Amino acid sequence: MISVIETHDLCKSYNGRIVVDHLNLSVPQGCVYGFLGPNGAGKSTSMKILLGLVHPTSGSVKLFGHTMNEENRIALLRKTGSLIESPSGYLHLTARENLKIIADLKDIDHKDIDRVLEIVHLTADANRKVGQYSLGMKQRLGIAMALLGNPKLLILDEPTNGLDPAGIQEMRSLIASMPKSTGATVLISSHLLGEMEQMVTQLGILDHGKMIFEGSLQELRKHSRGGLQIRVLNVKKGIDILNRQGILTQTMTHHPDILQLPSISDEILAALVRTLAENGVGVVGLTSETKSLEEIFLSLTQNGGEVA
Amino acid sequence: MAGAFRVEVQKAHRRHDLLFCLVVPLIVMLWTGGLLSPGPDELANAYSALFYSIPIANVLILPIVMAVLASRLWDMEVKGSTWKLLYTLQSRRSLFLGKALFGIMEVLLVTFLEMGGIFLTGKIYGYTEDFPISQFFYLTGCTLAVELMLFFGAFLLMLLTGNPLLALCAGIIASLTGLFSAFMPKVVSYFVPWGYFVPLGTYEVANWDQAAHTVTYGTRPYNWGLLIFTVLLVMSLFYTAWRRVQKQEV
Amino acid sequence: MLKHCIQAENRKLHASPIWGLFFALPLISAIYGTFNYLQNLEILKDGWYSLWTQHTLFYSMFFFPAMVAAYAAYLWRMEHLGHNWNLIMTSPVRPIDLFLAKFVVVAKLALLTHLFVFLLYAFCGKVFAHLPGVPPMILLAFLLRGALGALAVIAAQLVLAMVIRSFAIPIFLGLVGGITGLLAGSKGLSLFWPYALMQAGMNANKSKDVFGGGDYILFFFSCSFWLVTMFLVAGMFLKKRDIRA
Repeated sequence: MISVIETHDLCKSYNGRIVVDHLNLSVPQGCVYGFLGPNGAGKSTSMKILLGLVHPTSGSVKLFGHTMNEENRIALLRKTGSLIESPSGYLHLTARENLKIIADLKDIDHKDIDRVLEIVHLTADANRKVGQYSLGMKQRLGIAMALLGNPKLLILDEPTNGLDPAGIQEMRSLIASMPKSTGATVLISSHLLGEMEQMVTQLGILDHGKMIFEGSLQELRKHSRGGLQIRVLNVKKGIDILNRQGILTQTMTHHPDILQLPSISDEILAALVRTLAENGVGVVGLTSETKSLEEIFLSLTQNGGEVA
Repeated sequence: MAGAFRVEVQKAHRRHDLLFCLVVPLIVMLWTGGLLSPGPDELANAYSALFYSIPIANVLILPIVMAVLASRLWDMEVKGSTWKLLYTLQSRRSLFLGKALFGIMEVLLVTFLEMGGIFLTGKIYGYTEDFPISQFFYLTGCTLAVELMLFFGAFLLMLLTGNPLLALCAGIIASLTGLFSAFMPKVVSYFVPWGYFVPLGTYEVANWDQAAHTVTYGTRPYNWGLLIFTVLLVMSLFYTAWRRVQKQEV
Repeated sequence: MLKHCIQAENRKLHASPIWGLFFALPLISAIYGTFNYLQNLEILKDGWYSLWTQHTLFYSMFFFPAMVAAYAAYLWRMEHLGHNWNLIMTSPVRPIDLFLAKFVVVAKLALLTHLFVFLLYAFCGKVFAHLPGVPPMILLAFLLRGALGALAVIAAQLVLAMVIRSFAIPIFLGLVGGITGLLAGSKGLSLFWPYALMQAGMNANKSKDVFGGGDYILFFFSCSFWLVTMFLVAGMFLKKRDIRA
């Protein structure tokens, strides 16, 4: 699997303060890569380094298989579209004029402007000055600029910022479909973990400048499996049997008939259920908790927890 | 690089900067020669009067004008937060050159309009003095050199602070000190580069007859040494600004 | 409420590096004025009066309007950036009070600058020019007249900075205003044009008082007229214009 973006021991420090700490990032081709991390984790800085906006203290970046340096940077970045922090746009020019400038810099036919305006639903307001735009409209213009020329790589920092719910949903389906529709790879950072969960296929979680997890969404979920909940008819007997098996259990606070168990392997679980049933405990329900991305994320970053 | 320049032209759309470049020479010309129709004896040395007073008007107005032009060139990027996008599409060098070229174009426009204005004023009011061709070209060269120096000075200040406030306050102070240095002994004026319009100028008041209110003008030799020094200043300011852009992080 | 506005505007100015102008311009005027006086003692025979004209000539003509333009542009820049206009127009302050607050702050600063000019003048007169006695007190009257004339310019520049969203252009217009003032003065129209009023009031260019009896009335009338006109224009603008943040 070819990596579109690869970083090797990327470091960045400002006046002794380490912001990016030996980052080894790998974004496979054709995926939607979610870049997560709490505020101040170093996400924006890392993304800026990828685009050559910030010079790394040490380490290297490879884009499309080529090590990025001052000479080839622009040529490589021409195949990308980006939106970092706040959207850019000359306030005294209309959206269309702004896009013309970007198209000229990217060496793209002006015909593509209508296409991207249509995608972000700005066609009706294309001839108004950007200074008059709402925040959401400026955001959409920023996305349109990134989409110009059908880039092979999209780097988006909080792309749904300022959008209304319909806009967020549109953005989500657009991004999720990009690999299939245009063959593009997308690197996206966002705080909306619920949205991310539905869009991304790969994840990288950053904390204090260090990557604490990188892999697919399934891998993350597998590693952070939540516990089990068994609903039984005879709670007391159930607890006895489980304790004799050496499994610590307790009832849920608001559901006195549900026993909570830690995560155990499938074989042991099957044997346990048979034991409980044979002893008349009466197993009537069994659910396995899946931690949401948000819960995993919080437990990882707040407690400095391991990916268990 | 031509592409970068074309993009700057597009960015200048709706900005009235070019209108500004037209108005400035107009103001200078109106002030120095346009409003007062000279009497018959004044017509005989009207060009001299003009060539004497234009550098003084320049020293007052142009530092602020150059600060305005330079600050506006960069201010649009600051207001639109466009750095992050631009630097992924064009190298810092390309952006710098595009803007520098556009600025130079504006400076050329102002200079040529001003010089053209001299010619025009003479024709309109029918100056009887012979048109001093070589002085004219010398004045054009000097004005251009000092203007470029002022422009790149303001350009550099904008790059260093990103805030037009500093460039403009510096322009105001430069105007004031430049004007003053013009009336001080020549030695002092050499230490005030932004006032070089005047020491570079070749016309001076030879005799001021207070009773008859007439002024006779004389000429000084061309100040080639100072002109060359000015050009060197232009180049070093340009280079410093270039280096600054290269290092810039977003 | 107005008092709070004024305090807020004060704080804005105090925090900025624009203070540099406040010190630099009078200082430079004083240095040059003293130097020029000492160089031309043969022509400038009126002692304290001559020194005064040297100190205030260029100051009142060009640099005071430019400085006021910079203050005004700076105070309005903060409103033009971001979405501050929304904040302003929805706060419980009448928009014209906001204008008035800025006016008061700039006027205060301008008056202080005038006083600083006078102090430097007195100092230079004693220490460098070795002029006898004390400066004629009538010059303080000139100073106050100049301050009165300045009010119209302050109001005009505040209007320009409010209407024009660019930071730089109003400053340039301030300079142009100064030049028009000079031209108006040379044509004898100084009592009719706001940018010439301060110069006329400060009596910058003449050693004898240029105001005869009737001229005082015209001067005060002109100052008031232009001041009121500028405030009316400001009020109209604030009321009619849709807020485009």
